[in-house]
Amino acid sequence: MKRKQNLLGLLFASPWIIGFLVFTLYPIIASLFFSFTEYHVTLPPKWVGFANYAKLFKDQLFLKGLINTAWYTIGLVPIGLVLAITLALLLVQPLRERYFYRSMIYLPTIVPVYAFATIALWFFSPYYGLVNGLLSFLGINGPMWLNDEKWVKFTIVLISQWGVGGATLIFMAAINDIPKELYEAAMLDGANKWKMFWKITLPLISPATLYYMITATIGALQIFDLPQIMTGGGPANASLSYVMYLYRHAFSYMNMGIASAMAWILFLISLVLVIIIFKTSARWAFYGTSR
Amino acid sequence: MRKHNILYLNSVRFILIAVTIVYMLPFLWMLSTSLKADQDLYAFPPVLIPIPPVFSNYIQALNYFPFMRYFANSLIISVGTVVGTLISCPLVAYSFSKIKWWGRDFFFYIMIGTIMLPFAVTMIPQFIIFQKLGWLNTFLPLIVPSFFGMPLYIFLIRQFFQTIPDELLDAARVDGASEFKIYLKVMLPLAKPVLFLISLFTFIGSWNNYLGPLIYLTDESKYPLALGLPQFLNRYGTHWNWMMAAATMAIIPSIILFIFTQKYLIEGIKLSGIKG
Amino acid sequence: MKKLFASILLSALLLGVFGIFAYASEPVQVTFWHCIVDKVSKSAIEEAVAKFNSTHKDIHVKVVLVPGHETEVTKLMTAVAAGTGPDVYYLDRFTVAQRAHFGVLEPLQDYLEELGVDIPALKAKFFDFTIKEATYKGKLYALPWDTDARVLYYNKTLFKKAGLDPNKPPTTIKELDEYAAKLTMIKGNRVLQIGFVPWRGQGWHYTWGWAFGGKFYDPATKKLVFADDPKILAALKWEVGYAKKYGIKNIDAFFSSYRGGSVPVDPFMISKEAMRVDGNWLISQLDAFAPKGFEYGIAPIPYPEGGEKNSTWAGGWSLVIPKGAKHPKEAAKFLVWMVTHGEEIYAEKTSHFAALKAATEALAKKDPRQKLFYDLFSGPNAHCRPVIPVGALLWDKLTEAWNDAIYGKKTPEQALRDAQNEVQQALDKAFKEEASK
Repeated sequence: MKRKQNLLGLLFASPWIIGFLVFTLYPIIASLFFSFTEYHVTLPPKWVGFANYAKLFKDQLFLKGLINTAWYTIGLVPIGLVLAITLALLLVQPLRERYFYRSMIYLPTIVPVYAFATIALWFFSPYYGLVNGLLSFLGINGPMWLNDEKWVKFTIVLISQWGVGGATLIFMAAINDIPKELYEAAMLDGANKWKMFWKITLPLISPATLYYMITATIGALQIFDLPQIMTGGGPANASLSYVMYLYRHAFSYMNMGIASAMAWILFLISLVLVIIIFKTSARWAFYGTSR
Repeated sequence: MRKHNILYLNSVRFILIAVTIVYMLPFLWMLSTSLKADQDLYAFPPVLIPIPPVFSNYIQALNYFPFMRYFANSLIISVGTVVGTLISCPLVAYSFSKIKWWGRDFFFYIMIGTIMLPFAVTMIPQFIIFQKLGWLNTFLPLIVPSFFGMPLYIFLIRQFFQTIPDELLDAARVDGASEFKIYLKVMLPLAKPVLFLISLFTFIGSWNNYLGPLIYLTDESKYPLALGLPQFLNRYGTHWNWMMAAATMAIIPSIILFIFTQKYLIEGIKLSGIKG
Repeated sequence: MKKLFASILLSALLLGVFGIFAYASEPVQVTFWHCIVDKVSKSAIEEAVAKFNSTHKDIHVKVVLVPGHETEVTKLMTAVAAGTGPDVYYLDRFTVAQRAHFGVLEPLQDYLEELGVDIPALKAKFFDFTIKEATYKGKLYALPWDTDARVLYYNKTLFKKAGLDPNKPPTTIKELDEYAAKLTMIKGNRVLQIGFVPWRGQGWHYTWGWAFGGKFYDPATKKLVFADDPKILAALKWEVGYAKKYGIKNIDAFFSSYRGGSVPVDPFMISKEAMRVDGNWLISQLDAFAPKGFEYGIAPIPYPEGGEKNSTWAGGWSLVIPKGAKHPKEAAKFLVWMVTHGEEIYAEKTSHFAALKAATEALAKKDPRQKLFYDLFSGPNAHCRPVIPVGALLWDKLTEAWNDAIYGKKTPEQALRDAQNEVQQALDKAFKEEASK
């Protein structure tokens, strides 16, 4: 019986395992090897041991990119989570026109990123922008947003929230999976909406939450497009992300060895964070009767 | 009770209208730019509603590069990828969630690990693999990997499969159904919403993929739309109106797919009857 | 059904027979990757290639457009790494030395010699600085394609409004500063109109460093010298003066207002920025999109006492043969034809400045606005960026140093020193590797 289970499991997972062995394993190992070499892509790699790693930890921009990326992650993951769940809860309410709202909230994620970035720039433009216009209407003197070293990362985090549509759909699907009887029973017990959210909704969507936490963390650590297009890393490198700097090494300076070392440092950081999330999830992720 | 309900729904409505307006802006901006005359393009303050709308921008966009050809290529690549994803991902997710076997967690964590490395450093070795396979300048490197599962989507489906009670499958097992039959007849129908969800994500991801086609395709007749839009970005003055017209036409399939998909999304997995 | 089968068989046979004949006289296929997206230039390239193909029966050139960012080399790098690169590639010329150093390029000169090309005569057809950039370790690795130049653009209408003579652009830094002050309007902290900001447009480190008469690199000693050059320091300090005078945040806020909105709007085009150093390509942009009645003038870059008159620097593109090209010899033949005959077609159709002297001279005669550029190119103070294997790094680090100083993160002295030390280290390493090869 156990043997049969093992065989079945392997069989069902085989597409991915084969794909992994054929397409993914070699590039991963190769990049690990390159991280210990001086490698300019067109010349054969030269073994240098930990020299790339040692060099990086003395590199100001590397550290700057790392710290910036930490702030991006700290901002992106929780804000996105709260917003996605909130929107999902609103969008499953029995409004006749909810289809329209759903489509519109999802729409920015399919708009090409160039179009998207340009309107974001206009929104947060210090003088003529919509946001500061509204703020000044309320008598508040808005910040310089993307032009202020202290605000630029937060502004990019805010702008990223236009892309929350995908996560919202996932949470919507999860919420719709919750058996309605549970709410009816709770209602009979006199629970209010707030209590039902904490006792029923949140625990039952926790598998989706776990998915979000893992993928959003990995994604945030690799943030690239928006800072690249909107600020190019400025002002004064305040928005330079880790992967932006990695790309520069890989394709501008042709130092694939350094780029690979950077990639593996990021890998280790991701790994630690993901393990922490998985380990703590045992306390809050709930899979019903599943084993 | 009823009165309270209306008040409640209307406040939800009010919030959603406000949020929707904010979320519509990028699209509306794209649409408005796509209908602007050249001289309005760089006007300041910006012209928000172009009067009269210049529909000929759409004709310009269609002729700037072979739009329909690129469109067809995008469609082939994206549909192929969706088919591959739908065949492979739920299968693997089933193994990672509903079958107990020795390597399950080991392989699952390795799979999560593979998405933690930035593509920039694995790109070249991967390119060499496809070159050895003789697949360069074909759609194969863009489509075939999806038949071997995409980690992000396997993970997502796994999360949804896990919420389906095991009793349901055990009942079928007792009846002597084969594991594959259980997967096909019990699991997949229950997972319809999440399957639509990943179809949507895969389609859009593949439709907008720029780096893949850029490195693998070396024939302009094989280019997808994602390689067409950057052709408008010109140092000597970009015709943003044409570009946005092209972009607007380019997102139509994604919008259609979304409208079609969301009907199924909210059906939810109807467990109520079974669970009792 | 049978009939169908027979006809398929027959046509297959015929194809086979013709195939053999075709094979005997099949021209060598040369692939050519470029990234020129604008329609006029793209079709000019295609026209030139078509002409080459019709006049060279033994070679067939296939053109492939590789869209993306101007300096996107991702596709090239990947392909060359796998040995599937093109035979000819369109490359930003200032990176030629770096790419050659890292083995991305075939030594073009060897193939030219093999073909029996008169190399000194060929070189003489191009502007000197373009050949300098195409040469690495004494060998040609590229042939220059086009070129560009930086000049001062100024808004004549705003000049008139401020009581300045629209036909007398500033020629010295002192005048420039005075005009800038007159043309700037500030209310409180808010900039309403800006006269001039040095680092805008093409006002790079190199632009002002050279205009101030400074030197960045000494090829004789193979040392970077900018941190020790008082003229470079003076240029940077002058720029920092602007940041301090108006407040860097206020300047940034002013310009960023035009980056979003309908599309990114150029403040120069809507008469909110009176003067700016920019490239010659701005002319065609102004032709296409500037509002009716927009009046502007162009002038050489102003310079301080002890600086450099008619200073400019030029970039531009070139054609190269990437490593692993299948048909390098045929590619070299095409390349020589393309940068001479092909360029003539291209320059005429697109009004671009060619690296080819004759083509640009013809252009300057046809369009008087372009004459200034031609004079600048031919003058003694037309620079190109240092030809070193770490050119991209030097560019990035200089930019960083300038930013650090302008944003007040470091003193100008410190910023220059740090950048010089870091790049020199990389440079020494590159030269050491080269010597050991």
